[in-house]
Amino acid sequence: VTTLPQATAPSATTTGGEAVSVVRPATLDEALRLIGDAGADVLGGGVAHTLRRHARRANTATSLVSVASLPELNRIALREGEFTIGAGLTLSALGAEPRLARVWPAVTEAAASVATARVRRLVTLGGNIAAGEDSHDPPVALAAAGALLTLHSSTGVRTLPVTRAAQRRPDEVIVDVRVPAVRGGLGSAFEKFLVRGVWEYACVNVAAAIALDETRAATTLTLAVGSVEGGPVTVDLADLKGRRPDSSLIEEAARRAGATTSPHSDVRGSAAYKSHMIAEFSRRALARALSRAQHSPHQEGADR
Amino acid sequence: MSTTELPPTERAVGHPVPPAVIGSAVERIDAAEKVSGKALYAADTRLPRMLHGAVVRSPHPSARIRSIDTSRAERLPGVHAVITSADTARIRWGAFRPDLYPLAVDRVRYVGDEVAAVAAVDMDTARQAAELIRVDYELLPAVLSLDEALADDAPLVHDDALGNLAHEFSFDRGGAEEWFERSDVVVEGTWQTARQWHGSIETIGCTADWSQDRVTLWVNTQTPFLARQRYATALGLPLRSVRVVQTEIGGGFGGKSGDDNTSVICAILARRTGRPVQLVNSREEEFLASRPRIPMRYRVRLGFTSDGLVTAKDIDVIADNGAYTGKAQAVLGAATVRHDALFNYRAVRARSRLVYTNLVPTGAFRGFGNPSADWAVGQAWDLAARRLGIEVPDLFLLNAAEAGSVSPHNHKINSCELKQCIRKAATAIGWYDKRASPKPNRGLAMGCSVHVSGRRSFGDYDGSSAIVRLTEDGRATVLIGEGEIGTGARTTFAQIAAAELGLAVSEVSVSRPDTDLTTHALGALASRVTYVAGNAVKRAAGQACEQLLDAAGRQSGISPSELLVEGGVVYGPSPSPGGDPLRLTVGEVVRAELYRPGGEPIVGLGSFDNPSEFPDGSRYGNESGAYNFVAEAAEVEVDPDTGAVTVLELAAVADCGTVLNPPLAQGQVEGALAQGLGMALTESFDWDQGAPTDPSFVDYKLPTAAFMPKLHVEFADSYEPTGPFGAKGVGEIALDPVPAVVASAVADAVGVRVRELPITAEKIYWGLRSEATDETEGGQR
Repeated sequence: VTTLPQATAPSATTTGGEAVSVVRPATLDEALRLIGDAGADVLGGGVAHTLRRHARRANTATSLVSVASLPELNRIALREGEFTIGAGLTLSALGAEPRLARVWPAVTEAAASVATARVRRLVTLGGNIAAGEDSHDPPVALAAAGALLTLHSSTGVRTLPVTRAAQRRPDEVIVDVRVPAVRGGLGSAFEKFLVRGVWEYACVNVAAAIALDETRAATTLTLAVGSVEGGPVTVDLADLKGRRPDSSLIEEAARRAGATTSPHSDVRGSAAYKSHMIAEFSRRALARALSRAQHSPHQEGADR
Repeated sequence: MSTTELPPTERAVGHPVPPAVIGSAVERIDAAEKVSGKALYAADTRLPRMLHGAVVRSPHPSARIRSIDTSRAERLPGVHAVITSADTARIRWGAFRPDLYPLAVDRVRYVGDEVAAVAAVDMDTARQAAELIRVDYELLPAVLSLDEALADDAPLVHDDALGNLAHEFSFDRGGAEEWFERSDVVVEGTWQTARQWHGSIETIGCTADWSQDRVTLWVNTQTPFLARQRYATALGLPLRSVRVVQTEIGGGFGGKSGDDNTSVICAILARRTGRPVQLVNSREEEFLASRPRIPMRYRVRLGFTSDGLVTAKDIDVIADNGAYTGKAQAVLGAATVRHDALFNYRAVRARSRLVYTNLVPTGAFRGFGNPSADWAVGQAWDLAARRLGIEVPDLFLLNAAEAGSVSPHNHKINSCELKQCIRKAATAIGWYDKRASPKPNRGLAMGCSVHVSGRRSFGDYDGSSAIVRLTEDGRATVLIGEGEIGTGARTTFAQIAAAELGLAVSEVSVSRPDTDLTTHALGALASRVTYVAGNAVKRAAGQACEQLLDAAGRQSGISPSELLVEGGVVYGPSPSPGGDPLRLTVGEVVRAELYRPGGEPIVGLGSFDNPSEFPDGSRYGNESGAYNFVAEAAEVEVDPDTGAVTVLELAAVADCGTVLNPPLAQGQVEGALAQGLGMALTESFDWDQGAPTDPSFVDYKLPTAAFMPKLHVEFADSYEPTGPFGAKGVGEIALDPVPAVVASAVADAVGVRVRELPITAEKIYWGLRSEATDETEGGQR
């Protein structure tokens, strides 16, 4: 157990609240027991907690249970047609994961696009999802991939779609994130629109996934949109599945993305403008996903 | 060896050939301490028993203070003092128009206004205590824009400023209306700029310590002597009771000019507690309560003959002062008159008004009004070029000022290589080649600007003085109060002194400003330090050198006119026929001059006053002895699907006279271009109820290295006869035209003219889809 003293202010912006203890359990079971205690909170890479401390925002946690180095949270496995990605992996590691990049480039692109290299070396996948910020990039890509979260608590294990991450209870830890690993005919892409180009929340961020069967008809067609109310949200494209994707399909899907989501007006743009940009970047993501799907050979399955 | 064997010091073509150290890439004298982390910035000051301060700020743009309950804060363990306006002298202060109390008296006028302050054992306790102070406010109507402030029956920000006018002036020189009547082409438009923050890495900070009736302030201010004057006023103290010592400064850009309350509050807390107190702005406070760039709304009319000669210019400027005045009225002055020295206007007319609003007070920022003027006037020139069917560089060349030009405000242009800058900038960007093979969605534009090298602003004096002392070990110490804000000024002083003294730069040290120890100095403002203070250092060093040679002459029996110092050694012909030539180290001469009955030190005093005039109330008068110039050109590409702008290339050619230190000058230009691009494209806030909704760098995006375009930075071949070794100022000029150049290039690319900063993708996107088109714009619509 380490006790973080009240911040000894290395700069004027640093202020702390009450002293917080950091606990480093050796096993997942111990971690889950500690997290069940009153006043405890989960500690991943520590970025969100640090930001809260600096901003003197209400932070009720009196102990932080560090989970990022537990073995269960640090595996990336490919089995039974599914990738299991440990929630303790940093975005830096995730962005550089070659097997995942082959199957879900949208996910590795999103992870590698977050903030700066220094921040990506700290932020864990689980922490990024648990923060519940609708502007975060990895959840958008994971939503397009149909990712499921495995949540553990001292009372059991359950699964939630990544788009329902907000339903996580305070005593639950995201242990891993699962995405399907069937590669044949699959293409995906992540797009974000930035003003400065680096280290900023996106004006809009979207991800698309398309899987084609041997007849080039879409068996999977998903579009996820971030930086919107309740985001990331997936756009309802069910009726477009089964068609051969072409420019008119892409246009219709992009139109829906813009029309059915509710972006916020802020410094990055008005809601009206963002709706147009959601459509525009959906177009771009779908076009890249389609191109990748068309170049993805069918004979390669997941179980190699 | 005789002095007749020495190489000539005069070049046949005119100006003197400077010593080799002038114009060479001398390493900064503070480089090692900065990169090693040893440099001590404002928050690094540590004094025994030092306390930390925190400020309670108004959350409302306009309110009456009914009561302040400090009891809970006072009870918090570790708190040593809580102060309100009752603990202050209740004196209003300010550089030009005293309107700011150290702590708000009865009323608050913007979100961020200082209401109370705390000193405690550490910063956390101080901030926690500040949060425990309860202020009961009665909300008052606020004016949150220029239009609201100027509306009939608008609530008054200050009861003594009717119509919310803080300052106004006007002039008509040369009969503008007659010239407009004789013009073939008249262009006009209205443009608006926005608040821009300095974004210094280091925020404003101070440490105060009292000894009997005197307070010493260790402050990261750009202007220690001017700040001392104002702080003494604010504290109700005589000047002698305040001593200001400049710390290392992590970026100034005008923002650390001593127009805010941080040091004043810090001094009051230290007096109340009887202990040293440190008060440093948080980043949020820096955004809420420093003095950002003044937004200006600028209506411009320009007249031309059909063959492209400019006739008249008419402007109406409304500037957003915010709640308190600071330097804003001087900034408005520069924004109104300065650019009239750029082109040969036959007549100029202006009406300028500085308007109070219930928003964060504005003030000095690199460019000092010129970026706002250029944003409007530069774009009007671009429109004129289109209307006239003349390429912009050609139109500029037809009208540009030259050496000997005199502006309608009696600005007398000494050295001027503006035309050279325009030609070189056009070449650097490949103007005519790019025009010959246009690419879709790409656009080109050019802009120019003029700046002063010092300006008479604070009374009829814009001078500087320096003391150069030669030491017994053969070194030189430059004592000067001008200071260093990160530009490399101390290195430049060392170079100038070294050149004048015949010493290596490593043998010269330069003091930091201390109002007790150095001669009076106005400090880092108005691009004045190299020119004004550089001349003072040169004269002081020259005088010290004369004394040295006189002493060596007395010591050796050789006439001083036959002596020369080089590399720290005094050389001369042999004192005895057939003997070895004279060779004395500087240290030997200095020691011998001291260690004798009636011995004396070798100390040179040099002073220089800017050969300029103190402008009158209508801003008439030659404000500076030397004007610097720049021409810049940009190529941009616009994504028509999003409106996003990519600046592909940016060329800047500056006329700053002799370039004393190329990497330092290059750094000033590159930094100014980056700051100009931020002003143009990325730096803005989302506002609500008179304040930014997220006053942090999350929303406020400074440009990063990855954002920068390909730069072409060059300097004109130029020599300013009144400058030190021919040099002029260069610290600000390159920022000025950037936003206008980017906007005009966007208009050239896609036909959308952005009139209000910043130039966002969204504005261009809607512009591309709007029915209203401006037929004078180009682009592939």
